Amino acid sequence: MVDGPIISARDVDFFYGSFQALKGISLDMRAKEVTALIGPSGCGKSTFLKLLNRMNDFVPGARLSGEIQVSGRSIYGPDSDPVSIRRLVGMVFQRPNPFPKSIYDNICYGPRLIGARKKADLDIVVEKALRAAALWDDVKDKLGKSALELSGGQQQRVCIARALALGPEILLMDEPTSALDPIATAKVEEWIKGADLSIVIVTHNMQQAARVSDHTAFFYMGSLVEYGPTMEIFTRPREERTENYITGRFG
Amino acid sequence: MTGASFVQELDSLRLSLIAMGGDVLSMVKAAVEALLAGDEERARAVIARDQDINAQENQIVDRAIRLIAMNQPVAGDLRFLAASLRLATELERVGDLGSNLGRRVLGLAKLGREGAVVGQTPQELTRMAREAAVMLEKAMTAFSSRDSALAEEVLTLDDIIDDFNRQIRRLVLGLIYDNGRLAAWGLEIINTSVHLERLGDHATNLAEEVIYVTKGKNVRHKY
Repeated sequence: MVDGPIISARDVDFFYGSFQALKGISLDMRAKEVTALIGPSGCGKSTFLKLLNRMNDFVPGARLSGEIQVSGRSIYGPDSDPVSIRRLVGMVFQRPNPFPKSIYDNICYGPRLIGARKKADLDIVVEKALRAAALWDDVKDKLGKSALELSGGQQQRVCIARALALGPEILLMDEPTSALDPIATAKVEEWIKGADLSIVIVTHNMQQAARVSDHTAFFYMGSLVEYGPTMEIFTRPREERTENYITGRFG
Repeated sequence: MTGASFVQELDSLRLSLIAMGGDVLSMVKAAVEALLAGDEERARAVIARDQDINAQENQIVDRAIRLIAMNQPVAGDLRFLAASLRLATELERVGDLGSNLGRRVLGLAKLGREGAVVGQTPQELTRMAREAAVMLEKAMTAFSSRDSALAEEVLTLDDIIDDFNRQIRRLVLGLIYDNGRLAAWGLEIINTSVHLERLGDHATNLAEEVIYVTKGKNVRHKY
């Protein structure tokens, strides 16, 4: 942990081939806070999210300029290693995607990949991760059951626990509740609000951004239009484009 | 989240508030004229209008709450709806004061009929009544034209009204001190002055809401 911002982007331009998806993004995110990225489809918010743990590395023709630092270290520098970055910066996706394995094996998947073998150690990791994801009480008696038998909200929390098992400092969440019903959504949101780590969440649900985040960034056509405390963005945004978007008067 | 019908309903609520403000303003102006002319008939007509103002308040508050519940408004829409709830209540209270002024007119007329000793209406009260009506009119204009500069001007006018109230109180208490038989009349005059002073306070509150809606700045309890 460092004193400065946990994530710092400076003059980030990003291209898919000749298409410029992000234009000069500069933004600092604070540790242990929830930062929401909002904006219409195609505005660049998910692209920006994926840059934070180098998920765009696999996209052919993708090109980045500018700098992104996580905990003070450049994640696109020549010495940086995508695998260790992804241990530091976990990710949860739109649809719950547990592996077709037991709950226990889902949570152990990452730790085993990096060499954890002892059952006693793994038991501790599993309990800690499931407790942190507010799922322990629901599943402690059926850890051997397939994760696919759980409800949608529980499956998404298995995915959160699976990401947490590697002890990340940051969790990226790409529309984590868009495939969930309102009750499951409320549980995941409660977890986000109480989580003891830095979270960056992309959401199309404006009320969700207002409910769970400390800071909100509004993206439009690849640019960062406004970034500030969520309370201010949703009660008195500075920019007219932000006001028009969040009040549904766009276009 | 929001559609064209929500925007239309916001506009319609705005117009209802402007209409309520217009009714309240004309009520206060009529009350002031009735006061200055000692016109009992007019005063009764003012008092009779209060019920309609109360009904308008209820209707506006119900609509604002429904719009909040159904649309989860944010930013300017949220500020407007939150302010609508307060504006409707402020306007209703202004209506009450108009009606109270009407009652003072009737009270003063009754004293005259009963042959009580009455003094001359102080010049300060006449000026205060006119200033208070102007202040209210400016606050309503600031709301209907979303004019925060005019709202800021309204905030500076309250001191003038407060000064008048102090002067009238001092003057009338002096008169009562010299001639105790003026007490009943004097109390009506002091109460009238207090109603007008409160009118200034409510005009101030209305102007503060205008600043909140237009600028997102909370200036309440600063004036």
